[in-house]
Amino acid sequence: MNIEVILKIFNVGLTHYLILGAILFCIGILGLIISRNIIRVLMSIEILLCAININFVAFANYNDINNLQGQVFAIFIMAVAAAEAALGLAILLSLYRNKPTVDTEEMKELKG
Amino acid sequence: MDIIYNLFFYAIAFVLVIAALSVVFLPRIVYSAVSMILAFISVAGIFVLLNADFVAISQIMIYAVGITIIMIFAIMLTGRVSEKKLWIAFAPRTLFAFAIAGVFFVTILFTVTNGFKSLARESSIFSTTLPSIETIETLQTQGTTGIIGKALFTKYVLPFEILSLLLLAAILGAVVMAKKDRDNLINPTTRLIEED
Repeated sequence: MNIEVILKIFNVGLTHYLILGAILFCIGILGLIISRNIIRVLMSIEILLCAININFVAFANYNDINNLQGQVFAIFIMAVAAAEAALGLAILLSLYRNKPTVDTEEMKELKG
Repeated sequence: MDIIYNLFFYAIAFVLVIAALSVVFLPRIVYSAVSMILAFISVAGIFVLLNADFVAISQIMIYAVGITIIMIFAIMLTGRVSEKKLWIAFAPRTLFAFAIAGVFFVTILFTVTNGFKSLARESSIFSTTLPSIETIETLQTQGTTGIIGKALFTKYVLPFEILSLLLLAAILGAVVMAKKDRDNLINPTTRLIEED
């Protein structure tokens, strides 16, 4: 493989941003399932939303440079993420008041 | 394109992936909260590389300051010495999570590398090259705030209003859920104090 092909592969384009978003999304899903602390689950959700935002802004830059609708949706997603974090903290606090633990293995009330 | 852009992209992406992995895998929750700040700031750097200055500043203001402070509040309000060491789950769930994430990543990678190229060849909807230099230069001199503001108040005015309603409902719901219930206080001494 000659040097020009390698340079062309490593030249940053839309695909590189999408792959970065995919890596971040998979790290978020991994943390969502494997972590035993509820706060870390909330952090993983924020990482998932960041990955989505990277994809939106990348598509807005490479395909929709005149209207930038992807950036508008990134702003919307940020507002939804802020609301979600506040509600997550409130739910976490009321759960903690009933049962003082943050272990996900201990939360078995809804299992039936 | 130029070599400096590529260099900055790979440096920021490396820091971002390392910070996100350390959010998931660091054993103490406070360390992962701090590395979450680093991850969010590197995401803002990625946005700057994508000519999105307003979104980058919003990212720093909302995520790296607001949401991180909410997480640190959650850590401090639920903190307990014996539970500082809660790490990852037991073996079946961890293996299942690795399998899910791996399959997901391979699927997305295959779709992005093959699917978009063939789609761009056939329909030219997804152009995978940068737009013209003049467009980027006008965007970089004028900023993206005007375009986003016009779009927010003309085309997307209804989702914007619904979003403000959502934020109001979220604030009220958070206050109602996190408020202490006055009728069944657990500690009887506080009830005595309140009756006095």
